[in-house]
Amino acid sequence: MSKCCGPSPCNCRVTAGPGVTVSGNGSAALPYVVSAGGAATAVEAADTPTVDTTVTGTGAAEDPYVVSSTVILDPAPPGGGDNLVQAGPDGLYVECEQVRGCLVAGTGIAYDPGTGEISATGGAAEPLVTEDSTCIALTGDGTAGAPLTASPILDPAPGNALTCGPDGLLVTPGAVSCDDVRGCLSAGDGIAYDEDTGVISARPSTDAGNTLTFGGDGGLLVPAAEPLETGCGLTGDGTTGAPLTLVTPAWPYPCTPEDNGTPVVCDANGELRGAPESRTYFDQFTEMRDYENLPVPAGFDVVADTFTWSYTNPDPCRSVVVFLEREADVDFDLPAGAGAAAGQDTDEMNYMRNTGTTTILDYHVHGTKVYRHQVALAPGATANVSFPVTIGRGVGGATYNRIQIFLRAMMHTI
Amino acid sequence: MTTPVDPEVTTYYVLFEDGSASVMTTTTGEEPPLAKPGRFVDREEYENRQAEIRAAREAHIADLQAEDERRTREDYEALIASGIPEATARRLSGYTGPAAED
Repeated sequence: MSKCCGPSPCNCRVTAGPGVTVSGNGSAALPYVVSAGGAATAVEAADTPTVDTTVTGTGAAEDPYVVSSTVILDPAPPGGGDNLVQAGPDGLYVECEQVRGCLVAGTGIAYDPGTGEISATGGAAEPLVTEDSTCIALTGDGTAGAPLTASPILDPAPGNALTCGPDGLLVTPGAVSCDDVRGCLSAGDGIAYDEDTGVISARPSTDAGNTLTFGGDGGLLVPAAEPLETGCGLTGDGTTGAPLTLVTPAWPYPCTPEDNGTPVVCDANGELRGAPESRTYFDQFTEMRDYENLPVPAGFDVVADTFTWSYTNPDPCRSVVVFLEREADVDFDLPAGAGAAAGQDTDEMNYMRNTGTTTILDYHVHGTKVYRHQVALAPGATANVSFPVTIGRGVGGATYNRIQIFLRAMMHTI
Repeated sequence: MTTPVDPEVTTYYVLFEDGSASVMTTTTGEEPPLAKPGRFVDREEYENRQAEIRAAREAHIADLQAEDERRTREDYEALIASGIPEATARRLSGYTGPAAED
């Protein structure tokens, strides 16, 4: 260790800390002097929401700092209740009596606010409600003192053999006789019942044709059917091996019967019927109309007169296709040199010019046309015919005095 | 099977407003529709009107025949005058009346 406090300075290093002053060099002449001094230490009080801090003193030796704190008690707690924490000479405290008033006893709980004792009471059960049925009576309320008990209700009517004994319900053997219960039974369809003896047996119908009977073993028996006799048009005996079958000839056409055959139905008399037979109908109309020597017009195909008729499809079942023949005949008087033509609609069918020396009286030619007037006239439907007879090319004093027409409707069912 | 029968024919008579007269027959049993204004009449009324038409026609025929007679005689006489033999003159003219006087 270095030698100190001699005439030479001390080799020991002495450094002043905060608030301390060091003077001298450790020699005998200038010893180290350590003293407090320099700038005073600053001390400030800082509060918190629950602590109020106070600092007194200057920090000097004769007036040191004194830091003290007091607790802050909220006089108006945010929940609106009373602040039960109090400050006493020995610190903060809360007494039990202060918090007992905060508690309340609920269902099943007993609470003494004087002592703070809390205990379970067991609760008060709702009373058990019972209701008797027709056959069961209930007693008790389900408590230990009055347990719930069910008892059968026995009809007191005479003859009731049902009893309730120590081992349960009992119908006493022999207490109900057959006579007692026979009246409870009755026979339905197919059953015969003798109420005196109680015999129940099958009852076959007595209607004619019923083959159900009793077999030799007393059971019900349907005898095997006799083979069926069949007449014309039927074959087979109605068995699985030979079912009844209509006898039909082979379909002789190249088309299919499914698409081209006609139906066979059973009529109101129970007889089989085929499609209505095909029929042909004919209706005719004639008219002979006379005029007072009317001049023949010079133009072509001028309508001299129109003839009308109507006919009806008389078939009750089928439509008909109608071919109509119409025939017209105009009587002309043709002086020498005169000429005239006649026709149907716009078709001029004959023309005559008198190149002789005397008048030709009643020159006439029948012109005929046949065409399909109706493609399919429904049963009972009516068709109308309008037949314009035309004349023309009249020259030389030609006149006409009669027109005869014929309309013939040839109807064929389709 | 149905038995075919001839349809029954019904006759109707009609007088038209334009003066023409008709007799109609039909097998339908229904009154025929009329193509122009007219009315159905009985047979007697129809025959009365037809007699009028026939009289008019006979008068017309008489006129035609008179004209034929006049014209053929004129031709006949002209042919005779030109030296045509009488039989030829008749054939060419169509005249059938008495021979021309010499």
